[in-house]
Amino acid sequence: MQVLIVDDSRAMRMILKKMMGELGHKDIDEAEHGQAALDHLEEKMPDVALVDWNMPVMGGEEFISTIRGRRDCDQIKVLVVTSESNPRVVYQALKAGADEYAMKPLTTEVIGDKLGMLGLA
Amino acid sequence: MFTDKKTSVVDEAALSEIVTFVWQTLVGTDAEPAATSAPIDDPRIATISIGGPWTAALVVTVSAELARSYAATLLGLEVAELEADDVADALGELANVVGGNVKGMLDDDGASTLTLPIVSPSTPSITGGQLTVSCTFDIEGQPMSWELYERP
Repeated sequence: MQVLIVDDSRAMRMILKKMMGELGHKDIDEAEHGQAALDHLEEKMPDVALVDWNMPVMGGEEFISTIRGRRDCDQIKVLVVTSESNPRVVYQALKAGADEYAMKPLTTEVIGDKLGMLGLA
Repeated sequence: MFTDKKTSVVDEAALSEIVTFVWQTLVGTDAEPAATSAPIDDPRIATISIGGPWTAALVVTVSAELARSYAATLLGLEVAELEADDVADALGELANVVGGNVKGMLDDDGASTLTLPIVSPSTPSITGGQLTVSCTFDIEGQPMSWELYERP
């Protein structure tokens, strides 16, 4: 499974990469914001994207809305991973096209459960 | 353990619980509440603001040494392996996650917004902000201070 982690924090990208590795996923790419992720999609299409919500340049909502408007991105499962827990943000994320939502701080077990809910475990 | 300040939307017990939970989950060690808050030498400070019906700034202060060891632990690296921006990035992410959890406590129908964290070596100017909540933790003998400033 190909994974794309989109987060402006290098620390959080490394944490998520480590967690995904513990879950057996090794094909992992990173992007530091939504625009960098869109650029990445021109070269490689992931099976799942772990996407932060608040990012500079292009945040999670705009990134998700953009890829949900592209047919070639239909197969990408989107898991929003953010410190935002407010129901309105969850609603906005799902409305934009996210498939699942997880709140920081995360554990490997939570990520595994969420991937399982997406049929990607 | 805690200061006695003006009643806040978020009280000291709630902030302490959030910090303890986030630290334990991110770092894997315990953040022990500390009785006193001594000045922190050579500080590294991260600030994140919440805007909306309730406006506040959350400030975390640690020593540069603790900031480096925390970043190294978080990233799974040795201190010597850290890149230039790693310490600020890691401290900012800590403020971001705690701030997000604080914001999640608000009963505001999601009207509030969270800024990106700002990391600096000095206390930022919290214009019009009043310190309402503060708590300090002991991290393996070093203090970690959290302060919440609310704006009317």
